[in-house]
Amino acid sequence: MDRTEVLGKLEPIIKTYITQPDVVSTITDETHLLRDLKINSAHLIDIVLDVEAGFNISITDEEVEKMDTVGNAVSLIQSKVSAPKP
Amino acid sequence: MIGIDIIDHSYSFRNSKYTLEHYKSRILNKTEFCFCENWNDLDRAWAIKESAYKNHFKKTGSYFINPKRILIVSLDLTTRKFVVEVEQSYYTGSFVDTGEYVYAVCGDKEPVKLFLHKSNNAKSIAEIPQYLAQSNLEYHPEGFPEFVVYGASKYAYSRSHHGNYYISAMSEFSHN
Repeated sequence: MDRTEVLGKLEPIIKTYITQPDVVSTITDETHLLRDLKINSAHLIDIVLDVEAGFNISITDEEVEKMDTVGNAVSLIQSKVSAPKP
Repeated sequence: MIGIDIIDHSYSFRNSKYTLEHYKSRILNKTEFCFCENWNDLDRAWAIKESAYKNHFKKTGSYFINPKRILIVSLDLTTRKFVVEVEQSYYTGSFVDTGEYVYAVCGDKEPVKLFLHKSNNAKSIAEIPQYLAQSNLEYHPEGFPEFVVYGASKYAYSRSHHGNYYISAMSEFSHN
């Protein structure tokens, strides 16, 4: 899966939890999920669960810390979906 | 410094497609499982952790998003007091659970003012004391009142909004 494919699948997940529609059009790799998109911190947990289910991957507690920006989340997911399944 | 967080039970994790166990495994450390037997308990644990994190962030500027890095060390259901550890710092606080919402306050000292509002409730908005004039009362696009506080007073001020409820707390206030 390339970055574009991952982002294409990740964006709808993130948009589910955005309460201010005007910020949706501003999403870039640098966009911060909490600060820029104003996503409630509790919904970050939902995003992690949705990502695990949607991409069929497991994200550790330490890896959750890397999901601060859209770009970092894409990189993490990409590395996970590319890794061989145990 | 002070941190406050409110969770409206009717808008909380329980409305998700995921189970309580899913959220417990993501939010709580194993030693905290004893504090969480149902959805209301989970809301309370979240409010406690968030209130402690807000206080800790103001003190240290330390930013992180993994809720397991905030550890509820003790929780007394009789006195409604709790102790939380965040990055080797310890914080105490208290919570109130009405059955409709739960809020937790964590601070160096008890809040001197605590304001709870139902969103879009004009009467409650009007009851906000005038001595808060130093802060600007603005309106979030969703309609709930939002304070913008300037200067050092932000350290003595905390707010939270969730679902139908909005709450703010002040531990001190200066007109300077």
